Amino acid sequence: MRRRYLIDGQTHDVVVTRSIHGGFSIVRDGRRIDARAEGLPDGRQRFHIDGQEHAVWVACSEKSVFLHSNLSGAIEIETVDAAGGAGQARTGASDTLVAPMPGTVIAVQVCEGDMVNAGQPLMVIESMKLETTLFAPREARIQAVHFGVGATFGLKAILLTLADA
Amino acid sequence: MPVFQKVLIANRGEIALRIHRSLKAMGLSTVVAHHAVDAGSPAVLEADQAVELHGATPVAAYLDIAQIVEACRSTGAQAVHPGYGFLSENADFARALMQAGIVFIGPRADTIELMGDKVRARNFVAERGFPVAPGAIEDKDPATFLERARQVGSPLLIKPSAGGGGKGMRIVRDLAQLEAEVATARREGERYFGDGRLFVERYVERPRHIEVQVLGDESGQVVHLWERECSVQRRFQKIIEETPSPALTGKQRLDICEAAAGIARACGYRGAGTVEFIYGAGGEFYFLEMNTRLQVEHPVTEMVTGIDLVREQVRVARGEPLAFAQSDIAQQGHAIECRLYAEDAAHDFRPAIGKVLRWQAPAGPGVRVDSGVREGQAVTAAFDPMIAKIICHGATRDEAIARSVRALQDTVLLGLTTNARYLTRVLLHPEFVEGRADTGMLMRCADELRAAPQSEADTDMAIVAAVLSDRELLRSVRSVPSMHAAMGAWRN
Repeated sequence: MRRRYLIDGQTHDVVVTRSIHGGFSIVRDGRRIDARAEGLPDGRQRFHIDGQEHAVWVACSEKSVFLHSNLSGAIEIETVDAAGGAGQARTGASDTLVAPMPGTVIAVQVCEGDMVNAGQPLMVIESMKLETTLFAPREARIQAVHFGVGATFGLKAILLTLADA
Repeated sequence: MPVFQKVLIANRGEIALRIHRSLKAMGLSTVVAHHAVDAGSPAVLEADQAVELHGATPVAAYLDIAQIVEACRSTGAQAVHPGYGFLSENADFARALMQAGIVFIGPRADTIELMGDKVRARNFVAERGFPVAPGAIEDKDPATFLERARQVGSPLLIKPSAGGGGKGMRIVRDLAQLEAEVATARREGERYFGDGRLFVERYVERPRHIEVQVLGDESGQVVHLWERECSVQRRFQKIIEETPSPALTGKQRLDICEAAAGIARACGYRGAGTVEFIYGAGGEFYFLEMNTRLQVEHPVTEMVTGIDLVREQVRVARGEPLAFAQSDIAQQGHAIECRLYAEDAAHDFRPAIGKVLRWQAPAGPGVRVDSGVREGQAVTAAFDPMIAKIICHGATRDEAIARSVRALQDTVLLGLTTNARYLTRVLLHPEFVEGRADTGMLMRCADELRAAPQSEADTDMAIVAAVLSDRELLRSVRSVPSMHAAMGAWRN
């Protein structure tokens, strides 16, 4: 069974099979790892990886698995669809303005239907006390403004949608 | 002498919980006023009573003076502790409470006003003979402001008169750009503070941020509780604070602490406050501003002095005299605070949002953790993303650093990206270890502070965690006997 993971900005393809001792064999980037785990009474897990033991915390959200070990800190692992993309809908990159960080809308300088030139300021957002102006990446028509002044949004939220001029 | 038994905490998160603890230790009842998004937070759950505030946004609820006064009336709270941020430095709030017969645990409204106006505060301090950086104030004569600013010479720092927290501040090294930068700073000042007035100051190269904790009582007695150094900053916000400052000699320490106490005395300061200074490489220091409230980093002072600052704030608000003289206050050992933020240090410290899936605070000798989160709680973009403060005390600075590194490694916070590892790298960087950090350190050392690429062993561990957490994957792998397993069984 195959999976593709995104860890620390790198993509890893793995193939998982059952191994003899009740654990699993994981082939990643041309190497094989033998692994199994057991739960510890304090809620941690003890991983046995190629004969080495690691006591770690593991938690899962809908889209990621999080791991903490004292030596390495926290690591986030995203499962990526084989089709590519980390679970979010893909639109043409130049057709949407995506939030570079979570924040609040301070000002919207355009309305839906407006024609804009490349480099024209469209929206001012604030995050962590810093303001960022979003500029039109190309000549376009504003198809949709997804957040109004005062609205808060998350990382990678689509703030504006552009259509061909 | 004002007597009160029930105190309303007009704040949230770690500071609401921290204030609650001191109030309970003094035998007082607590009310936590909160917006619905914080209904499940530890402060609200632990308070004796909770009262909900409404607002167009969660932040607006915490800033609604009329609602908070009404919450005091409806719950019978006779005093309010404002914490830091929100209404803590709002003179109108202090006045509204006073008019309603409620004690504001903080300084007098006119002191808040004086220190809240950076230009008035600067003039006040300079007129009384305390050091301020050479500068020019627009209000004095707006027509000649640019010319006077030019005469101060470069490098210059432009600041909004009504500002704070680094908002709208601009460094000008090339005076040809002065006019354009002034225009930008004015726009930012107008937008953030509704006030476009500016002033400029000589920019101190390799500046260090050193501040002094002061405490005054109703009768005019003022003491200082020594300094804190807060030079490790990103985006003008402190992330690591410590006391004593490794920059100061014994004589400089006394000078700066006595200047702070003198400033507080001059304005008849009541309660806990902090006088901030900029400290230059040559040992010169200038008044920056005074914060008329409890600071985020107050625990490092508590760790070395053994004094509970919230308790002292309450005692002063009750009209009691200070319980100690200057000579009773010693700095014992060294304390460091690391602010744990939900943010991605690898991407310009952008805030991270998500749900706290697992939270386990570090512990051990000399370790104090002030946090206001619990597992299952969502961290959103609605508030400042500080999750916890990890404060470590040691007999020496080296021991405090070692304990801080260990505590950060032991901090388990899963579900959100945090700056825990980044803080560790800062603590171990030679500039910090040798006590040379200035406010530009994090920018200057950005490359050295970047995380090393993940090791193969860590990647293995991460992949194993992902695989073993994937129920669907494990089920389908188990249902198909693998060739290896089948062959192994057959051989036996």
